[in-house]
Amino acid sequence: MAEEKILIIDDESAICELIQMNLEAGGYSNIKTANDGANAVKTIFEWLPDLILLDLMLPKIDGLSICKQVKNTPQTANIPIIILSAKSRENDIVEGLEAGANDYITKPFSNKILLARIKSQLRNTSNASFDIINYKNLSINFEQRNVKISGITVDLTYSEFEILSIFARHPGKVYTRSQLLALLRGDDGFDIAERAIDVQIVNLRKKLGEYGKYIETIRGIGYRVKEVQDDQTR
Amino acid sequence: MTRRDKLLSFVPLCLAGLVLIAMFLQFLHLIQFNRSYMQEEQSELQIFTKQIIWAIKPILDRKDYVTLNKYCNDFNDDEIRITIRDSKQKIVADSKSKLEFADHNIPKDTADDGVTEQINNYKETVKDKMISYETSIQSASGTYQLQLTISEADVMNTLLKAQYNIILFFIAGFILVLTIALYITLMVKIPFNELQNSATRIAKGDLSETISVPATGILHELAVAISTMAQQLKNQINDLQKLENFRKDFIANVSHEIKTPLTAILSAVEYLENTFQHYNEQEKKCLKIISDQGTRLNALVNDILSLALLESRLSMSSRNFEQFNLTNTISNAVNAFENLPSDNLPQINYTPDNEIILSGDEHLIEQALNNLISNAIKYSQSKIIDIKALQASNTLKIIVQDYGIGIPQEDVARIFERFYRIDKARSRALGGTGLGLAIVKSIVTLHNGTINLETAPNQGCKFVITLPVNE
Repeated sequence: MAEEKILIIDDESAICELIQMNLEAGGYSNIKTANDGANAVKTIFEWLPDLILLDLMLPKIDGLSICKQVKNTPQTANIPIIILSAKSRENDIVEGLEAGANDYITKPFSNKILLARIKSQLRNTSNASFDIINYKNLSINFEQRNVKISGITVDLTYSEFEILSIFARHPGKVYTRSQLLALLRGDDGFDIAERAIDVQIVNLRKKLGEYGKYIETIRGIGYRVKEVQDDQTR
Repeated sequence: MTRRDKLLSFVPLCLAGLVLIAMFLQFLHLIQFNRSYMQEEQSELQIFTKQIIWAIKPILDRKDYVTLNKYCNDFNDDEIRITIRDSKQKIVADSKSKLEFADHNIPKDTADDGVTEQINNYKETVKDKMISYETSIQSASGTYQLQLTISEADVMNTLLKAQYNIILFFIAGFILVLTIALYITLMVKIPFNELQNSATRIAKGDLSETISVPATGILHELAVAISTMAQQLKNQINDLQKLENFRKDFIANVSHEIKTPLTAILSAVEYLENTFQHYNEQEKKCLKIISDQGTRLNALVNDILSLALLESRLSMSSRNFEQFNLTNTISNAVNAFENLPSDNLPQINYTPDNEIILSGDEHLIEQALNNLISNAIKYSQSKIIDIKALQASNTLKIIVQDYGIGIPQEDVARIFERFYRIDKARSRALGGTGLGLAIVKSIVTLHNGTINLETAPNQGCKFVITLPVNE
């Protein structure tokens, strides 16, 4: 039995209950639910969950504000947030991701996918500390800033390596175009079009060859690296 | 120089021309007047001559040249010159010179020179153009010639003195008219240009600035009208924006409201399916029906929302299109299907060759491709699906072709209608909503394109999307 604390925030108590039942069936027992924004914020800061499932349309305090509040408080900034959304407001999802949410799932969702995403987020919270990531024949060395496929060095530009490292350090986390852009230019504020990111991604995919397909395009939102199960790191 | 500027400068030119024409006509009239004045003068001379003849006849009868000269000299200050010659063409009396006579009837000998001199003088004076009238007088002492002359220059001078004022008046008028015309032109031109700038701004959709309305001036009403129109437009755009926002909110809310219970239902069914293993066949069937129908309802909600959003975008004039690489989009759409876990998935052929840049909504184009490909997979029973993108000079064709069962001719015309299904039972069983092709058609229409279907039973289907390419 995993002891991770999971907080489910949804104004529909039936959905809260169902998610709780499904998570319990999936092996998570330490679960709390909140039906409105105020209650949710109170629970987050008192209970300090390991993961938050967040609906965006909430009474009292909306999901977006909660997301920002959690990510802007050092105490809670590392808690992964998965947005649950009826996808009615794609902009809200983008805003949520830009506020720091790690992933999003559209309603109605499959319980299996929900469980898989929760698992991936819980596992990946500590991924950022590795110096080298190996997957099959792909090896990324963050210290030496090089990437090898089957021992052959792949020639990446500065931007491409930055994008690849953020993806590799946070597999499964969805990044919006403007997030990736901010990452590349720091806060200097070069005004590059968001579409420029698409070009970088296309080039990166080409250079990574068969591993390129792990970079997923998420329509209307951004990009993420697909979750891989046999992730060997050292 | 704009057309209006040309027109505006044409106005003072026209006015100046009119004034010039009027002046010319007046000039002609003056000449005519002068000519008739001369004629009148001549006839007056005639009458005058008769009066003089009546007066001098008795003097001539007496051959009293001294009295005659006295008489003539009375006219000395007049403009009329009276000259009388005897039958030998010798001047015996002239109003402009004094002739001395020894006795009453014979001129002095010395007077001969004087007369000759006088004649010379006379000739000199005659150099001017003269109006003269000559007549002969039969008197007891012989035949005499009476000549009355007026210098034309004298007459003209008098005339011109009178007409000088008229000409002066005309020149002053000409300058005045030209100045006024130029002033009016400028008065029209400056506010006109300002108004035009304002109107151009409004036409470009910039309704933020107010229009400067000249307080007075000929364009005041027009400026007020345009200003009112801009305000009206602004209000209407605001109303439309409100309506559009309301519609979007409504669509979003409906989506949320329907999907929330759907989420609960599907989640509950999935939980039941996974948690208990002891269902009998009927129970399992029921759970599957709930799950399938829930999934279908979700697909239907998504498709209806897509159509509603497309329609609201079709009613807007601005499309907010961006340029994107169609080759990538098609590759993405194809990849999405290749990753699907299905056993009898047909082979999808697409060779991305050269880059095709299209201006449009990338997501919608991908959705259209998705719908066409998934239709081909679901219904055609074809083993191969070919996708091609062909670029011609100003059109772009996207072709999705299968080699399956095809579509009967009677269905082709209605295939793009909403909820139209060729085989209803089969379509439902495969999870179709009946809206897929209607959405494709709306997407193509939004991009100002057309979609055609070439098909025959057992000959497969060829969907051809034709999109206009700018540049």
